[in-house]
Amino acid sequence: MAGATDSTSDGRRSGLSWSRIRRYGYDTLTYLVYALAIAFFIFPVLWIVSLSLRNEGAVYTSLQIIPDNVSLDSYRVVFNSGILRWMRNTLVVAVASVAGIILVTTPAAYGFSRFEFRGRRTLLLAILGFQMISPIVIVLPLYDIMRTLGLTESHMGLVLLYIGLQIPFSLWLLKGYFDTIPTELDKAARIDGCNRLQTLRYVLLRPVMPGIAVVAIFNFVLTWSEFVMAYTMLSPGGEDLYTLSMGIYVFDNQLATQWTNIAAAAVIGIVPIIIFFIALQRYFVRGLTDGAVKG
Amino acid sequence: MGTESATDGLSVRTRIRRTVDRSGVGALVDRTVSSPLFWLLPAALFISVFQLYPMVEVFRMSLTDMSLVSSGESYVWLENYRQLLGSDRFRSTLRVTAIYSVASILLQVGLGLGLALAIDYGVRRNLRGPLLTRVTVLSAWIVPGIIIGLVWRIMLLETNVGVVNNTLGQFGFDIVPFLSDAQMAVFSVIVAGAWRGAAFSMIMFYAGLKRVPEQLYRAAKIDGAGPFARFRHVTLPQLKPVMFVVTILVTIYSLNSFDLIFALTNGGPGRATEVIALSMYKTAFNGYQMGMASATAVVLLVVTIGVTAVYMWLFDITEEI
Amino acid sequence: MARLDIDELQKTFGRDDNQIEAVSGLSLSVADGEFLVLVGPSGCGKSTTLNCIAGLESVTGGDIRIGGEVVNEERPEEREIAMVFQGYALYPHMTAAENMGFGLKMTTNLSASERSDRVGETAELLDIDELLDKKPKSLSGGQKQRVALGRAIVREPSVFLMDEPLSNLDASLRSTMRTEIQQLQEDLDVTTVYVTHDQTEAMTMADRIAVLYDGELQQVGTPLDCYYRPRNRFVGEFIGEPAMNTLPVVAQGGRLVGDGFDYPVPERVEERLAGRELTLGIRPEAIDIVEPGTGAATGTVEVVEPLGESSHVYLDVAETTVTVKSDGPSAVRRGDTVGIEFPSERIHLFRADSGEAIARRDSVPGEQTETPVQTGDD
Repeated sequence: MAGATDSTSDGRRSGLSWSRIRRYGYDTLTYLVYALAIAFFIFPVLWIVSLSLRNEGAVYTSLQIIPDNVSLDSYRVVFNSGILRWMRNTLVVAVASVAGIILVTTPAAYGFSRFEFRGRRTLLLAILGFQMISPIVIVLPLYDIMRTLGLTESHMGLVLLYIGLQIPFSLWLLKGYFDTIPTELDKAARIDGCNRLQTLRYVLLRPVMPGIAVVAIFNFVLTWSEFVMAYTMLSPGGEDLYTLSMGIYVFDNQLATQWTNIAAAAVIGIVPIIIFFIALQRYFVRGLTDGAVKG
Repeated sequence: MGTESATDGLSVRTRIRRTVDRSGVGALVDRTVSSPLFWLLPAALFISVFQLYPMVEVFRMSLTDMSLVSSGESYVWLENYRQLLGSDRFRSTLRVTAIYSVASILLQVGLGLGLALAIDYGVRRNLRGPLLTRVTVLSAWIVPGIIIGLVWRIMLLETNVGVVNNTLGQFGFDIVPFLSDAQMAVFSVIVAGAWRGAAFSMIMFYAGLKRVPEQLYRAAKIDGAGPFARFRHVTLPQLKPVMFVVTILVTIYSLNSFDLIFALTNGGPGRATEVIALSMYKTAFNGYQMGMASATAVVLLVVTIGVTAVYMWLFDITEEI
Repeated sequence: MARLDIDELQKTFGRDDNQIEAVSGLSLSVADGEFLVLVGPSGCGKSTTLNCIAGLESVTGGDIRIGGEVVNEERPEEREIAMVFQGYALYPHMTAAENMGFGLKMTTNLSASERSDRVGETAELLDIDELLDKKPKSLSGGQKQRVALGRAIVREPSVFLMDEPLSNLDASLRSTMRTEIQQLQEDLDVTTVYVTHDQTEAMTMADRIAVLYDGELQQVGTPLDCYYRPRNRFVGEFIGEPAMNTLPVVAQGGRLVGDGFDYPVPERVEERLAGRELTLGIRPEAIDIVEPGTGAATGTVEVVEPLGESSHVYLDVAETTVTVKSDGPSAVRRGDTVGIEFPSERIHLFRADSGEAIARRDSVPGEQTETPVQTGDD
């Protein structure tokens, strides 16, 4: 066999060698993994879309993705049941939450990044700790608190809650971004006559934008999909108040056997957010890998 | 030119200086924004109200017999815990949670790592498909948990409507009771959970892989290390911090898993898939027993923290954070 | 343009038990239009001092006066200073023009067109007017540094502060910029305080040098003054490249005696040295290589570094390495045994315990006029 010279990955035309065979083997294996992964991860979505496009009688046709008779009946039913209102609710809550989180977290991230004070490290660790606690553990006292404050059955209340719950992670992320900007810049701004507020506004905000974008995207997706808190706080308030996830869940309970309709509802719960995310995923992934996130 | 502008500046100097604001308001603003408190206060307030106080409250509530339907409450101290820890129901819940979590962790971390490696490999070797794979897997993560549960429930239905059973039927298999058999239900829940969790795990690992410096691989190659050896000695050690974070997060998510299971099986059949979080929720909002439910929540919290502590010890994290 | 006075400056960091005194009792004056270089190794307090002058750090003790007025309580922009940083510190999302105009925008009420006029003038001065619309990331290191300089110049400050501005540039760029900065400073005639750890920069650019170590001022004087008349061992070793050779000696019977070393006590040194432990300092460029057995000591050649117009020869003299710098290619080779000789007026003597110089020479060769303001005396 022509030498086992392990060439660099741009491969030399050295004929058939063990290393090349091995490399082709890995390649094939990888392609197989890709195929399996794509199939496994996309199938449920495809299936539910397919199901939603069928009419009642054709439910039993199996694996055909595109049914013989495409029917939008189920969507009609679903839209008539108020799904648009739910979407609007969710959008309002998500946008307001994201805005709130950014407004509250950006100054805090600046504060942690640019100040030295006693207990700073402890506070940071504590915040990290909070981030690791699942909100499900505190949903009960939260319900009690929200009820006392009159914040249940209200979108505003839910938004405030979401802000409070999402601060730890967003803060940690944003602080990382602030930390990548050298403090020399702050010094130069001070010499140029800026106080801290002006420094933040004119000098630091633009460079930190990618971080804010990541925080915004992440929190939007999270808030859009959130179920437990919304369900707990909003359900007594009546259907009009529901967010999308809540609505679809309740829908499922009501229309227990009309699978096509439920499928349509589920599709509406999935597709918009997927499109949103795919459009923006590049920024999201780049933001995460750009070193602002440690370990 | 230089001297010219210098002398020019001199005569203009008194005009160009803005009056430095030494008034009270300006100085007050200055002093306020110079203190860290100003910047941290809103965040601190939110965290206190929505995280800190509830944390304390849940402990306090667990010591009472608080109920959703009656208004009075009195302290029963550790009675709730005694009842809870002695009940069969709870023991079963613990068991289910343990099984679900362990299986989920292994599956999700393993799948995530494998996928991330495959994608990274594909990117470096300029294969076709890594981007599509990455996006597809990521999309699974975006789908709301409640809807994932819903979709998988529909897929696993035990009639011809359920696509899995339908397909199996075509191959001559009997209908598999994915949702009505206690053990199969646990399996179903694990798989559905992995469908979502592997995506998160993959993204974290992928980010970590991309941060491994290329030079280390080159140095290893020069030292004669083959691909497996490089994986063991370069990739894995570099991934250790990511591995730590991913495993902890996946563990926490699994232990606290709620909405997916809620939609898929609602704890059923019977209590076969009732994890702690579900049990707590039901006790509170179906049984109206806030006190007892709080005790359950506290147990969940303690378990989570305990496991995290074990991880920290296992991974020997000294300088991280 | 103004005079800068630093009076017993003290800067302490930290609280209670973990206090670090970064600068202690520093007193220094910079005349109007003078170029003063603060030089010293890392951690000596030079950057801290600069930050205190700028107002970026508060002062723990002492006073800072600009133009005669105490500025301790004043904010940076009130002090009419401008600063150039090591990492350039250009605002990444602004163009060069916007970077340069930012300070003017924040501290004056000049109109946009007035600002852009001034920016334009300064840009021409620095030869960067082509670059005004570019953002920092498309500029080279040297270009960025000019923009940083321009940002400082356009403010027409009373005092220029520069914190190791050339450290991030490569060697050839550094020497070009050195000359440019010097010329610029002369043209603009602005009082300048320049911080660096590189003694070459200090020697070539400064009107006067202030050597700092461990938060304390070691010596302030003209470059030649610090070179020929160091006040202590630290200054002697710090200034000059390659560094001064030091040998421990004892004064015995009219001779300075050390390990394998014997040298007559120079004239200017007083008698009461008998038995004292001293350190003898002699600069590499002052040593001549002579026949072995003659001269003050004998040693073996370890390494020869040919640099073209000079050579560095490293000798092993009784377990100590002595560096010799000679003109042109070296006549000796590795392994040769040679002797070293040097004139007595080039010798520096320091007390072994305190490092303080004794019997410094009276004057610096070639320097006739003005003895500059010195704090402390011989």
